[in-house]
Amino acid sequence: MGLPRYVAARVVWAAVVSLVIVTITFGLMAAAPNPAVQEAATQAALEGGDPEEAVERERELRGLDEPLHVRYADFLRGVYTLNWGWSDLQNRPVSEALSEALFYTAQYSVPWTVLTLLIGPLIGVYSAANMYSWRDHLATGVAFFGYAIPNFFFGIILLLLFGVYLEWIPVVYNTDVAVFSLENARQLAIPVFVLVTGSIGAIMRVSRNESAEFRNADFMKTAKAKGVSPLRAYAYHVMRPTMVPLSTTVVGQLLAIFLGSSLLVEVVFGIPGLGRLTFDALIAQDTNLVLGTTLLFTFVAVVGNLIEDIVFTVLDPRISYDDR
Amino acid sequence: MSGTDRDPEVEAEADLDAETEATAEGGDEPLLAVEGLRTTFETDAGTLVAVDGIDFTVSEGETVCLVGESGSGKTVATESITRLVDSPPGHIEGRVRFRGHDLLAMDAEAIRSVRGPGIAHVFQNPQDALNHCYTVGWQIVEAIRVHEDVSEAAARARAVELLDRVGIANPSARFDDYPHEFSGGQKQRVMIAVALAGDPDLLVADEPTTALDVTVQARILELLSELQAEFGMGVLFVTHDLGVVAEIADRVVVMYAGKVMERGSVLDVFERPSHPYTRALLSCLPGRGNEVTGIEGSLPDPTAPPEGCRFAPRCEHAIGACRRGEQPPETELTEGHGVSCVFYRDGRDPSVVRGNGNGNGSGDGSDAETKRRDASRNGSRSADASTPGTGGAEGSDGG
Repeated sequence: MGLPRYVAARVVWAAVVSLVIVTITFGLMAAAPNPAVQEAATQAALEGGDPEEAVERERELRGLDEPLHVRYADFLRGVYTLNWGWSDLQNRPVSEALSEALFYTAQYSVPWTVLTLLIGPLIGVYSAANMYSWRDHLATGVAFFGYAIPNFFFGIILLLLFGVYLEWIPVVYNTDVAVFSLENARQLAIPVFVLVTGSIGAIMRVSRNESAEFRNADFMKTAKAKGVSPLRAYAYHVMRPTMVPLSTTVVGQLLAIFLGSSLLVEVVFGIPGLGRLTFDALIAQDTNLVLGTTLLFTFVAVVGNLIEDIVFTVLDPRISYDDR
Repeated sequence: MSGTDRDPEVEAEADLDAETEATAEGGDEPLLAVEGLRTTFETDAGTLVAVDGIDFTVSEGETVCLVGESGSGKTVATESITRLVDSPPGHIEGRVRFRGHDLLAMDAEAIRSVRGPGIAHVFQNPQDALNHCYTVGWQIVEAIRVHEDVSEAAARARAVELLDRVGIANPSARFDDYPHEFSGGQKQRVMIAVALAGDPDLLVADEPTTALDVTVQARILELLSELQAEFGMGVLFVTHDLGVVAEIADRVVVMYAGKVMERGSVLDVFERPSHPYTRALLSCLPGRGNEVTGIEGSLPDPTAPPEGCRFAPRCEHAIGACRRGEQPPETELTEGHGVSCVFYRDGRDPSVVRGNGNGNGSGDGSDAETKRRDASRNGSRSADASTPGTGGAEGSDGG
């Protein structure tokens, strides 16, 4: 036993979980009436043809007359080879629409995640080190504010202030600018800021309370007695044990905001990312595209939990890899 | 850490050495001299006085024991020496001279250079004293490299050597093990290795064996006394276990409620215990009649200490003079043997306290020798682990 085997086992489990999710999705899809078939029947009836025959033809055309296990195998092959069907709304393959949306989503979610993971624990530990001082109260106030205010509302307010009145940032998101350019940074600054304030609060509070426990631990006294400077003591002896419980909450926190808030933020700022795409697909009842976006989010969640599990065990040496 | 912040530390240390020589030539100042040490904490219930103006000294290579029941302020006293007490809420006053330097007047960086190479600590509970996220080797190497600019490999070699010296079997393999993979006794050995990493002049051991199995206690004590001889360290040993005191101490300081009640050589204290509190503690040793009941009463409220002698409310000999004014000043009975009790002052009769004929098993000079031997035997008996529960003042805790 050891870390490599543990990681391998966890990866296998993640694959199993994704398979279960895909299977359930297939089951639901198979059980539900297919809108395309019904549409064909309605069409045939309106044109005076035989609805029965039209349904039969449509089912044959879409392969729905095949036995269930053949359709299931076909579905699985499609999902795992990224052949996710045709989007009527976008008039192109779903995978193509998704990858383009992902390109825009990544532009703000990567800096958002990195900033949250860097700033959150740092402010939390700083807050614990200066507990009950005005700095701690300020940090706590900012955390609660960011946590409490809805992201889309905060986004609208900031857009109004900086975009409309001060005209510092463009009101409409421009997809033509280069990814690594000053203009792009300027138009993404506010969305990233809004999302960071939303996600940082919970992480900051967790790390503050955890490190408050560790800063009074006996090993901090040992570190002090060894002649370790306060900065080093906090950086090594408090930060590291704090990351262990924190790592278990971070992924869930970020995913919740990723799925919920980023959609609204994209709508507010007009970013053609995954959130907007999901929203539009839902409104237009584009089944394939909705399926594609939800599967993508599901896979992100599975991979996120996988990373969380591995990070957790790597950070805390007391957790054994055996029998897991 | 970077080299830039190490330089001042090295300088501070060099500075320290230079002055040390000067004072060493000047006279025979002890290694550590604590004068009027007073440590208070601001709490919601008011100002808590944990240590209230105590004095004591530790000479080179000497073992001094701080004795008293739990809550007497022993731990706070030792942690005030190197200012490990967090301030705020703690506040330390007085003078702590170490090799001629006042530790309480030093800036933060200078005191850091004393912690480790000058004065090292071993704490009571080895379970929590090591960081669970790092290997024991990493934690010893940290103790070395915080003070000395040595390579990773050299520090590692020294850490392995230290682990070997403190009796960890197969040290180079165990270097990379985490604290949870060690037993309690082994963890305390690792803590001792951490303390020795800086080659300290003074080792402060705060009840290093209390949290350990009795079978392990003796071996840790043995190790400490071996290392003391080998490294030539002074040792300030905190304990409430009189058996241990009888075994290792050169001199004893008896503390109660933040004050020193009695001090003297180990012979003075065991053969001629003079303060009622010392006598009460000794009578709690097994085989002395009082081990079941302990000392009646409990420690006074540290936020509102009583007037007069701190022990007066629990003292069977207390008279009116005991409950007035301050703690009585120390009366020097013989060279180095002091006692803070009104019966040794103003022409009162000390034999009232010395108890010719009081029922508490205290005796005169003639059976004092037996007493010390008893205590010593209790110590070694517990060391041999044939009896669980060592002879100590524990019986009086929370009484």
